[in-house]
Amino acid sequence: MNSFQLIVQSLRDLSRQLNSSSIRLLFLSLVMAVLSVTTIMLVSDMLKRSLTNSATNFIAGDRQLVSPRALNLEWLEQAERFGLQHAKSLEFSSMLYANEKFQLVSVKAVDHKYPLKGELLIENNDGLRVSAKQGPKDEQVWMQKRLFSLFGLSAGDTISIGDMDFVASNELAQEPDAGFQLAALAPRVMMRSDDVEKTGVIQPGSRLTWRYYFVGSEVDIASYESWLLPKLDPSQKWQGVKEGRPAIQDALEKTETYLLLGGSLAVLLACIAVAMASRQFALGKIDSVAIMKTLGVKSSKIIAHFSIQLVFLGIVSSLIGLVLGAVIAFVLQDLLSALMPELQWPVWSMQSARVILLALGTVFISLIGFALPQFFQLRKVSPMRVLRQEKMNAIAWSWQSSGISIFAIFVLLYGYSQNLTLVTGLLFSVLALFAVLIFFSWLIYQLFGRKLSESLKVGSVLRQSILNLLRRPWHTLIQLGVFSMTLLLFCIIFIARESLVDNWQGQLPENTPNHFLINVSASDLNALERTLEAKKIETSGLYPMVRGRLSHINDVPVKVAVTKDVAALNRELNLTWSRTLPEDNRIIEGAWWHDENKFSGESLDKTKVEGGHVKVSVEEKLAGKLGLGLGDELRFSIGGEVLDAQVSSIRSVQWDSMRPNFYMMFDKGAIENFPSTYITSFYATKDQKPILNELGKQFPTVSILELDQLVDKLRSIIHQVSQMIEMILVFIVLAALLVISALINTTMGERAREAALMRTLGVKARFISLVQFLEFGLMGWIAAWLGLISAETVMWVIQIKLFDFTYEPHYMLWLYLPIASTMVIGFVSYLHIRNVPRTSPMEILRAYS
Amino acid sequence: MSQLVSQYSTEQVSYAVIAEDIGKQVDLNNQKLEILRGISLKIKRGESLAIVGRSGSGKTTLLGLLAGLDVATQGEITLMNNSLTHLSEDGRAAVRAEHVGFVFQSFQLLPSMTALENVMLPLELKGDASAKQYAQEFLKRLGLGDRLDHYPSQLSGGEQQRVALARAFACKPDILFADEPTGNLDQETGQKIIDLMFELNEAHKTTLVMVTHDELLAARCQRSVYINNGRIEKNIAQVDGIVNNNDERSVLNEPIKGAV
Repeated sequence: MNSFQLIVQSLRDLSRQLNSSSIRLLFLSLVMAVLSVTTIMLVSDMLKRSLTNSATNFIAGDRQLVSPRALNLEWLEQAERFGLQHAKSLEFSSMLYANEKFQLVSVKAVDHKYPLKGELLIENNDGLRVSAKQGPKDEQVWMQKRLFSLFGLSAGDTISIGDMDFVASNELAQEPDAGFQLAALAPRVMMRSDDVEKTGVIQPGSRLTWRYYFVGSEVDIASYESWLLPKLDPSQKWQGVKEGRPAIQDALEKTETYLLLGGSLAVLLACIAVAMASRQFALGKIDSVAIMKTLGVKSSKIIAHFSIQLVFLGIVSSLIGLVLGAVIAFVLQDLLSALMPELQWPVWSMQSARVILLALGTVFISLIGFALPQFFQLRKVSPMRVLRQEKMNAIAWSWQSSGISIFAIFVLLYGYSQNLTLVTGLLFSVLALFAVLIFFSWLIYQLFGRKLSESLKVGSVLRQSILNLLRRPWHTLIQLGVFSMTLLLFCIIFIARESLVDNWQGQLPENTPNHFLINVSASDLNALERTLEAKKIETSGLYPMVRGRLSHINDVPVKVAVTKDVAALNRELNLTWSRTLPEDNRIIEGAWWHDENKFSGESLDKTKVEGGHVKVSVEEKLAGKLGLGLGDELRFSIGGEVLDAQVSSIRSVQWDSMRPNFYMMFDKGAIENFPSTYITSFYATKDQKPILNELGKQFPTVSILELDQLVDKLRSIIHQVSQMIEMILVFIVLAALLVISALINTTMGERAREAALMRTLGVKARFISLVQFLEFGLMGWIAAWLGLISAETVMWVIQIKLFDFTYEPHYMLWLYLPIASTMVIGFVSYLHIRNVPRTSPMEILRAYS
Repeated sequence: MSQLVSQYSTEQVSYAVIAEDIGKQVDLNNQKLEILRGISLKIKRGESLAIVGRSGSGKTTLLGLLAGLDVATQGEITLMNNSLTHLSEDGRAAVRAEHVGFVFQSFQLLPSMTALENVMLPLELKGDASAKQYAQEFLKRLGLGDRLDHYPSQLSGGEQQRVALARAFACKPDILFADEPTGNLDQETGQKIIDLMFELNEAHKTTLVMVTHDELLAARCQRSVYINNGRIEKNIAQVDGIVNNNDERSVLNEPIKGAV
């Protein structure tokens, strides 16, 4: 027989078995594995793009290059050659003169292409906010509202900066890349970059910040990056979304991890189903293999025969899985595009090629790792079987095949998640939990099984069901173990989803501050507090800000002590003092002031502090970058004066909480003598917007920073992302159903025979179905409790012990899971055996004798 | 003996099984295949009947129809005054539960149950509270007292068939259907099983319907029906074939405590 004939024969043989339940399950499990990989990869890719894309609006481009000098023209030409568009802005401080008054302002001069992304909003003549496609026209400036009120100007009036006069044509309402550093800035004025030279304010030595914005496809950006990055000097910063916005980075990373974890579990479950279905398929082949061997067919040919069938199943299932996955991703994209216009269908790219490769890899690795080992055992089938029906289990469990399976799943999950910790942790936990679950199943079996059955009425359905479970202790234990493991994984994914969503929503709760008040002078402080109180606006606290530079660490100049380039050292820091720890800050090391000594109540002069040092609390990440620990001595230079401080605590700060946050905090009294302004943030609804105008009029020097749109945007993204990850739950449920189905299928041959025999004994079909339903339902019920308790324990340990979060049991699960599991597992078993009571017992006895 | 006579007199009017002009057709590859046709048969209560024929003659199908395991495509079957033709599968199951016992060529013990559990099963399903005690007693009488907790795979063929006989007789069926009961056994073991089956049959006054291709075995029944090509070829009464009661095994006559 040549190989073509072999292929034709194998496929013909396969086509005759298409109604066998083990082949169907094997096929469905393979499809499920591919489907999970494909959909999750596509969706996570889509999400990542859309989040990144919406986030790029906040840096006015896909990437930003921040430099203290103008860039070499060659670099920009190179960017064009790589297919990138670019724009630039120049920021500097200058004095603005109008109505015989001066004010220090922060100028942003932009070219005609700015902004490449995001919204630049100005107020038009009717007081409406409109989106501007580009910056001001020649010889015009846009200014923040506060400057108009400060100088008593209105739109169309003239101001001058340096040697040049400008028309203040509009009020600047929002610039896309304002970021959150505005607290440090003087009021903003925006002009054209072509006008800068005419003002004559740029002198050698002026402090300038050039920002270059780039947009282009990820591939083009990546190639430009690899060309550009080696050329940058330490003062130049290449920024993407992640560097710019830690909150989004966090959301992205957590979503990705969750999707990968959920997807890995779905694939793992699908592989278990593949193994069980293949085993069942192979078991059914033992007799035919024995006969083929007596006819002189070699083992290698037999393995080839089954391998061809598996490869064929693999190809068809990967195609179906890929297409289904793409369709699901497409439908999701379509459904969500109304909410998230940034959502993009992944175009053909390296990423989609990777998806296809992974999908194919998934099928073939699961076939090689889970299906083939089962068939390989068929080589050992003795032709003697034909003569003597030995009670031998030709497909014995072996270390080798389990080893191959574990290795295969390891390779698969690693290729999929590229996260070694996640994969190793997952596999170890699954194996350990499985052992624990088997142990508890055994315990339940020992403690309750026999006693319970003996107490029940003879001939009752429940007694028969329990007796059936007790008669096959090993089957029962393994089934309980697999069922509870499956439900445990489901619970973990369910609980993780809840805490992920809670965590996100906790970051930006409904009343997250969405407005900042900056530059509040000490003289305005009391009046402002009273006004806000009268308007029933609750602030996150008014914090004083003193501008100071860190000059020495332990008497060594910082430039010497810290070789790394730390942004915080290149500029003045905002120093603050507070009696109390801000509510979202946490002490990591050391202690907050109260804990050490009672504050005497009077203002302390810095010289009165022991050893001439005041205490300072440093933010965790900065402390890490600077290598600071408790007891280190810091010297600050504040307005020409020197302040020595000693690190007394390290704090964690929630940077995305929309509250004033500080790297350095002092105790009350320590830096009170230095000139300071105050900052605060608060939450205002849309209806409270008029209050802002009133504040603007009453306190013209106070800057009002409106971030409500940004906060709304972030919140809607978080909402949509949390809905999207529910898809993972659907996959887990489907994969779990396959495992349950495959497992039930393995015992069906024996059960069908039993049912037929019971029927010859005159037992009614309904009784048999009921016994079967109850038997599996009972296992489902016990497995639900085992899975639920283990999942809650695992998650409790992770949350409480590792993350120090609070933890509450998930009552919804406790209420519904046991019922759902009983019904589903009972029902699936009923589906498997439903035909048996209807077929003539004669046929079944013939079939199984 | 007087008991026996009185029973014989009632048999004149009541039959255990009556089959009238029954036939069985099956569809195979879209072709109608006639397995049985025009079979009429009456089996008296307490009678022993052998259904004899070559492989593929349709004798096992006939047994299945008579026992109500399968439905005839034509004709009418009455089992212990119940018309099987007009009963649903559950109705037939109820008739089987009340009147019928089976012994199969391949024993058909449930592999996941011990010998004792296999015998207990039909008793338990009937709700017999003393099923265990009764089944233990019965197996001990059949010489399997030390095999109670053994699984079918741990028993020899002869032992398995003895367990099957115990299971069949434990429920005191009115009719025992046996399908080639010695087909999987060697001659000596087979002989012992047959002896035991006839003794139990005698002791419980059971009607016996047995399929076999063994003429000698058939000769031990009161009557033999020869099936060929789906039809009854011969119907021969062999009154001489009745086995005499053996005094040694008379223990089997004693009622067992707790029996239904």
